[in-house]
Amino acid sequence: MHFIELFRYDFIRYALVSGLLLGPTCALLGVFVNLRGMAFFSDALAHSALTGVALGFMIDAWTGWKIDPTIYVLIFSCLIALGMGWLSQRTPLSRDTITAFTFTGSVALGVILISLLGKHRMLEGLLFGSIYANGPADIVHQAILAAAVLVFFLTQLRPLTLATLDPELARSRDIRPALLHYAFSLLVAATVAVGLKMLGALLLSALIVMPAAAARIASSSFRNLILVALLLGIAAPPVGIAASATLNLPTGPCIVLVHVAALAVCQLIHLIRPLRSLTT
Amino acid sequence: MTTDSPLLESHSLTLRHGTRQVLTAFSCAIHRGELLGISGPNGCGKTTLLKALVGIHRPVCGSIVRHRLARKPGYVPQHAPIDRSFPLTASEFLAINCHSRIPWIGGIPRKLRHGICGKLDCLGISHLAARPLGKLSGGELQRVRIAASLLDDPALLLLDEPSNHLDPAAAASLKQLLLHLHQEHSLTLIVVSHDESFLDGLSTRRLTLDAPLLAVA
Repeated sequence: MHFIELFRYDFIRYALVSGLLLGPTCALLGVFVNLRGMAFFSDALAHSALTGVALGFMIDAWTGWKIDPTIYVLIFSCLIALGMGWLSQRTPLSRDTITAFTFTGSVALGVILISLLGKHRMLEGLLFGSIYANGPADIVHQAILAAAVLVFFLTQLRPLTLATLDPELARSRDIRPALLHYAFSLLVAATVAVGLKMLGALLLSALIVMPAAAARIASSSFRNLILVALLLGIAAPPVGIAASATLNLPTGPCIVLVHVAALAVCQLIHLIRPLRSLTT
Repeated sequence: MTTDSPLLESHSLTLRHGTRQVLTAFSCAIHRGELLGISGPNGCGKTTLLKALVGIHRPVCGSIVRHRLARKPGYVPQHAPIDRSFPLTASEFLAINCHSRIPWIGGIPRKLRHGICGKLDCLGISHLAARPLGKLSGGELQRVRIAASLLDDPALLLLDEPSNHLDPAAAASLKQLLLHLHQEHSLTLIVVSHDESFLDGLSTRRLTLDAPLLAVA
């Protein structure tokens, strides 16, 4: 199928818009997920979303409500993110340990709830997602999220960077690192809730972590880090969607593999650069 | 304010570090143009006192009076281990330390360029502007941190163990820099150090804390 012909279909157009909204949003958040050592945190949030969806189904079944599952996932992810932040400040446990038991505990609870509901088939959709299931309402959610992340970064990038590099120094500049951490964690939780439908729990954290990881390898200044991460975040979804449609392959994994390829190219450039400077 | 009135005063200050009381009923005054050296053994409360004077540690009781010129003092905290792979250049480090409301997306905003380059020039490190933090030596990184603390042109600068992790040559060079800032730029300085030799020939007044301290005037 010719690439231009793809745009005749609504679901392809929605998928592209969705990718262009979520790709750079996840990449921007990924810069700090990476710098703050929170890659496992975003993965845990993505997986705990299973429990959010299952709880939503149970509440709907008991009450007869018909609430968008994204709302349940959003509430549950935010509670999990706040809970993890609170535990890391109030217990001697490391963030890694807290993330690990939240991850495994919430997945275990989610799988039990889903099996109680008898919706085993739903697991596949939650784990792998489907970008083509996006509709206009999802695009609106994603646009609101992208705007919120953009505003947060335009106003808080400087304090967040200082708080990430040296929290003590940040405190002396009237910055509150703990408050910023909570705000950032909530944004990651909201991104997980909104992006779950597109990539699913397994692949979502790749969209957050990989562009920034590739950019970090290729950058020596903060400006380059942000620009390269954004560029990869914008480019990977359309390339992945086009590859998936033309080769008839699953879309989410195609987008992730584009990121893997970008990371490999950045690492290659990183390895070649010192050799080139030696030869010139 | 007269030239003789203190920049910073503490009255009957009691400080706690965690659950341990480290200072009790501590009072002192720091005047303009002073270079106060604070020394003492580990755990006597030097860092806690400095943090309280900066305003990031709340005293259990007592008060700290900051005069107009010392409302926003410069502060160089103890050398925290910086993630050497953090992709930030020296000039970007200064940019994130600015109190400005200008949006920042990396690099140096045009409106801040003059101030940042001026501070790097003043400390003789303009050649480090584009160098990533991870590629600076301990002494260079300390100078960059001092340049960042001077961005708002404070009248008072507080430094916590500035010679930690520096070799003797770098420590001597840093001492010269602090003396230069004190004498040529009329900066009032409070330097905390467990290294008595670093404070020798540097401070105009010395304060030695013992653990636990009951009262020092």
